[in-house]
Amino acid sequence: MKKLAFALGSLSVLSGFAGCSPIIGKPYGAGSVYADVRFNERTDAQAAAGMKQGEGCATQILGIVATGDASAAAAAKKAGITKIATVDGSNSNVLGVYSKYCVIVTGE
Amino acid sequence: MIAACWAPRRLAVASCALTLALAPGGGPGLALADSPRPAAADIEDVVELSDGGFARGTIVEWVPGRALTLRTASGELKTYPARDIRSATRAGKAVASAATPSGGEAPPAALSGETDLGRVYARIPGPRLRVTVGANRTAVLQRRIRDDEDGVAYHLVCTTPCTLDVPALDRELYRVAADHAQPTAWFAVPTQPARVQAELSPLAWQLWPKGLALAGGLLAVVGGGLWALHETGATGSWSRTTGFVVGGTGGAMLLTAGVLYLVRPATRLVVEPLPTSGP
Repeated sequence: MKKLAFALGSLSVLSGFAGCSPIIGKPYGAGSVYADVRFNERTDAQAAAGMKQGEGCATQILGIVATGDASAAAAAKKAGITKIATVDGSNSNVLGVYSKYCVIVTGE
Repeated sequence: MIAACWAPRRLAVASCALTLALAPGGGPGLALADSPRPAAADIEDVVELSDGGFARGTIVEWVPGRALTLRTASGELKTYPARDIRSATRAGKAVASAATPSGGEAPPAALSGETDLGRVYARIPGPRLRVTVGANRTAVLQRRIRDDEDGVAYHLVCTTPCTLDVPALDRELYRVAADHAQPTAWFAVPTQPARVQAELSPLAWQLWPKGLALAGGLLAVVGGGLWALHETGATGSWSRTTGFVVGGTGGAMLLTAGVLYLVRPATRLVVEPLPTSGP
């Protein structure tokens, strides 16, 4: 019984660590089990058809390795945007072992 | 003096014109209760709908590609989606571009020269193809600017459902994408007028197999390590039990990841040629 309790306790601790690994920085969308959230960071003008949109993402795996460029400047440069209308963000996370944060810049 | 009258297009009465000539001696030869050419502020705005109807009033807002808001004579505010508008005039000047074929939808403003994409389209010569785009959820047609390991960039063409005239010689690729969904693969402009229908798969079907596989692999390694420690005699029986539970959980997660990966619905794209009128 003690061994089983210890085993379950170890599993719980591992799950707790898993909840710490999503890319930190945003208070919303950091669900420890699953998250797929899109949110607005900034709005200077209304996004409309015909505008350009650029995305930049950073990915984190197992809380060990994190790579990518999720800066608004890089996303705007990719699309050739010189006048930013909106900056949105999206955050996805599964069990805390795989998470991805993207910034979406819209403009002209 | 020339007076002109205008009648709605759908009525059988054609537009009429009266020509007046002054009588010799300077006096008016014929007096009519017509007024001089009205000023721009006096001309009602007219919105013509794709179903043949029309509305008059004052246009208070026009968002190209999205919607037009009209205040009627009674003060009521009416909003018309851009896809339902064939043409609109404000103070006698065209506001929204008209759809050319009968019963067709108005092309979105993305094709106008006022937008970045409109300027790109204007530089592409050749004929235009009518393309209708739809999806199983509200989505956006995107025209690729770049897509590589550094990220993706594109033009926002239109929000589905939409109909637009695409340059037939446009060599850039398109795709249909939506929030929380897997976008379609990039596709080239059809070689003839076509209907593009996208069935977008929820993004969760892509994320869960990946996450479960990573978590399951981690737990399997940890469980296996604890089991191995017990087998070497370095730890007590607790290590075997714990390793069994942790490793078993990891294995179950790996199995679930595999099943989800196999049964996941894939994003699909169907391109159907539109019927063209024969000679």
